Amino acid sequence: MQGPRGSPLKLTEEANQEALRRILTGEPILIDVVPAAQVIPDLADHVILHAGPPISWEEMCGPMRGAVTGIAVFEGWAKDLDDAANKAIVGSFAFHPNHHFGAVGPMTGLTTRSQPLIVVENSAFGNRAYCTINEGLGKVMRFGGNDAEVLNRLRWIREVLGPALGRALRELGGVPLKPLIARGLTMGDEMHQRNVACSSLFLRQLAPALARTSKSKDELVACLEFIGRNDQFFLNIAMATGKALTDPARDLEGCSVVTAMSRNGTDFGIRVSGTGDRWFTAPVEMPVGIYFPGFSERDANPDMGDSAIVETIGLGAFAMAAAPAVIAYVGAGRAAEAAAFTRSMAEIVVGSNPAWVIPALDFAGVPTGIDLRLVVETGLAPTINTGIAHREPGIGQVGAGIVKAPLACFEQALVAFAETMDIE
Amino acid sequence: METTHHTEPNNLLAAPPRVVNVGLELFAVNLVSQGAEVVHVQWRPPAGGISHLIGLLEKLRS
Repeated sequence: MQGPRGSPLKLTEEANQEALRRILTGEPILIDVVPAAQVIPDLADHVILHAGPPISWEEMCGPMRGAVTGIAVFEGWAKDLDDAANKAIVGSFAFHPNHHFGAVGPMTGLTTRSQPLIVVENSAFGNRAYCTINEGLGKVMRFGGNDAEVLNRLRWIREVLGPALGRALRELGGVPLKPLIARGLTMGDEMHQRNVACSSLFLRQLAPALARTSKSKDELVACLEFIGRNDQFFLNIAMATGKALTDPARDLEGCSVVTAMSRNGTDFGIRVSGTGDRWFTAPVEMPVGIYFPGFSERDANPDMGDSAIVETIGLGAFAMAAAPAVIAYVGAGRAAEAAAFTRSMAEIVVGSNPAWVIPALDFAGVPTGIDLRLVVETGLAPTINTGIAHREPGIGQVGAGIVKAPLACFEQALVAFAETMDIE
Repeated sequence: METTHHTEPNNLLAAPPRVVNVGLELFAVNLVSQGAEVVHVQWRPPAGGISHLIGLLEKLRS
């Protein structure tokens, strides 16, 4: 069928190539760390941004509620967790997705006005993306933790680490992230569940500036220790990179490239370039993986977080072949099977990224630009590497695994996408 | 009337089976468990066999 705009196939193929070009030519640079309200003016008191598509308090899962009550105490909007929960029930807080404000957040992904945000600028297109600073593993707010230890760590991040990182990054003139990620891929990272290499490379680059701009020796030591003992420190930087690279590919007429995949612990949502900012959602699936000692799948919460943005730019499970060590961590099989994940995902994308290559695949580029049409046609759901949160609020991370994006999101999106092309 | 000799079936049964299995993996797994040499091809109907989606995909590819 050829409507007034000509061949749908030609329009989509050209639009998809343009989307791929924009993603591949982006130049993400970590330029600063600043208080959230400084770069997202809509973050007034009682406004809480969260991971995933839109959700109400009533629909939120345990860890999301745990994080909401914790962040309300942290921001001084409630005197304790019970008070925060009561305020949430009567509608005292406004909830919005991070994605609506140029931001992303891992797991519960809460962003509020006083938290320091990583600022990644895409210098090729002039857009910016934001993410909070990674808190470490275990009992942390992104996994639903909310006790005094969690809140005190967030206060230290707000009052010490965030400002110190900001000073160091400004003194450095920013850290280019594309070459750093390229190197991390050759050192066994996939930038979702394994960020050991990139966290180390980042710290190596930042440490001299951190030392030069530090206010005291104690502050410097504390910052170096915190970053140095957190293998996942780079995750949040990779996520802001993903958001900064995919945003220029949004809103292209006839484009079937997926620009966001995200979960709020209840629903999985995707956005597609050609259908604008509309979310297509379906119930989120349970990760399959490995649990920390003392926990099992009975403790697990369904999948959560904006972190699947890294899969939309070819990292995470799409780059599993670069990270054979991670396949054991997420319980997805033998090391030799890592390449099969990447090859499988290559069947549902527009192209590959020559700047981010995988040595074990003869330096093939990571599969990039998920094509909605190919997902529906093949039935190959995007695979995502993920952390697993406890289903109850206040406990934290209990494991890591992989999860499939629900095909129902893509099937709904295909119908809406076809409508934009006057096809029914 | 001329007689034609068909030798292929005998040869096929005389040698160990070499199998290409398409679609349902269970058939391949069963054969492998009995020692057969099997190449499994992952295949499923386009769009899960949902006719409305198949129709949309065909129009989008026109």
